[in-house]
Amino acid sequence: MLTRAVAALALALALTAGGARAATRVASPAGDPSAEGTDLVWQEPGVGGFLLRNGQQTQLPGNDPALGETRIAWHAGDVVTVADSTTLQPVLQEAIPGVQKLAVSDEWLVYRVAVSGKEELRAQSLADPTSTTTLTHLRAPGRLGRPSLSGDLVLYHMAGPGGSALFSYDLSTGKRRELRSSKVAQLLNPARLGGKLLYVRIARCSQQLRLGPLDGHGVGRVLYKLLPLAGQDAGHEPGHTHQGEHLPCTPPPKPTSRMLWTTALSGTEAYVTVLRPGSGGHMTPSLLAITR
Amino acid sequence: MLSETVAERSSRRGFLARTGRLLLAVSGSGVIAAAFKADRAEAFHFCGHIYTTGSCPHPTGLPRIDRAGFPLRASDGHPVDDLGRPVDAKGRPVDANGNLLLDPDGNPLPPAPRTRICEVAANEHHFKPYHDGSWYRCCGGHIRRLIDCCGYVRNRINGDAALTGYCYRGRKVFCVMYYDSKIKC
Repeated sequence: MLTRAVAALALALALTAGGARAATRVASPAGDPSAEGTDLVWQEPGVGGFLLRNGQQTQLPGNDPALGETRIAWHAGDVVTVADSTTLQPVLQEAIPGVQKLAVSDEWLVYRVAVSGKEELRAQSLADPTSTTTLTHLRAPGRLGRPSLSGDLVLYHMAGPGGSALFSYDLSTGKRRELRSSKVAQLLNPARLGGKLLYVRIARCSQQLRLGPLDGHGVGRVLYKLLPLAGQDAGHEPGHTHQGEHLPCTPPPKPTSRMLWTTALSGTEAYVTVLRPGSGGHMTPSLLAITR
Repeated sequence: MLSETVAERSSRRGFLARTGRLLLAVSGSGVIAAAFKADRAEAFHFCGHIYTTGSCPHPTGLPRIDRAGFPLRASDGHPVDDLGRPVDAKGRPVDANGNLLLDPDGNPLPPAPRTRICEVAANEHHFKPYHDGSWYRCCGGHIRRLIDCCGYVRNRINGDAALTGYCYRGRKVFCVMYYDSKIKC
């Protein structure tokens, strides 16, 4: 495992799919990154969480790891552990039925749970774990994104047939803000560092990993991009003229089945999971790093 | 309904007119001005289309729609979302074999909007959309319903002056789309 990751790290892949910047493959299969300083964690499906620190890869005793300030968290089944990120010594363990995804900071544990067919985003103070706040919930699975946490600010997406939006929720004030929204493009998986917001924007004619201001002013920069998820026809039927055709993308793109997914942001790198379809519709993740 | 009377004089056109009316009854919208003819390559960009008004914006190109106006992939009639991805009945993205696309945790990938293409045209060009009348042609051996996306517009999607076409109450054609029925002709 270590060999594979180190070899992958050394291999800078300037991906052929039209990346705005060169991307380095960190690990595969791997996804759902979380970063703090130079530390990086991710999930290998069916195996568990991994920590990459100073070039050394360590398997963690649980799944879906998250880093934040001086804390690290993971879960083994329904049992969530919050630990010191340096020593990996647990500071809190508790059972949270249905827990799926985690985010952590010095003050807070935020998690997504699936209960009775719906998904909820909850937060609890590490100083008072008995007090839990439900930030939001959705009935249909798969529409509420993985949370990320930066200080007191939780970020997440909601995406459905009506459109998508990126939200922040300030745990110190209880204020929710819509950071970005679209009925045309799909906005997914935000991560924040300081005043910067990293997120995925999937539109009809391209997929982009964008880094922009948290406050929503300005479109920001495209750090990485992939071709769109669907192709297009000729716009006219065989034997008929071009006149009157209306094509969605110009020039016609060659579509890809790879899809940008979860993100993380450090001072020097942006991380993004790229999903590749496998058999039966199951998507396999790869984790890429892009220099900011 | 002079055109229907004329159409019913020949047996084939009569059949098309009857099926057209059936389609109308099923779809429950608009009034048909039915004047059918056999399919053949024409000087317009898809079978059955007359005049030069352009297609409504469609995620995969040709403006094929389902009975309710939502986009279908022209090549096979599969429903697609606004990103052009094939989707299931609930609007969730599926792979080429119809399997639901699942994230690494086994959750369905989030659905994207799926918007009626006349509505997309209206949103992009700032008018209120109307599906008014339709006409029918025989295309590829099946009855095709051709539909105008109408609005109170001066220009059509091509940029030149809009025409009345099969629009009512002063509305004009902004762009065109079609629904392929399973009725043979």
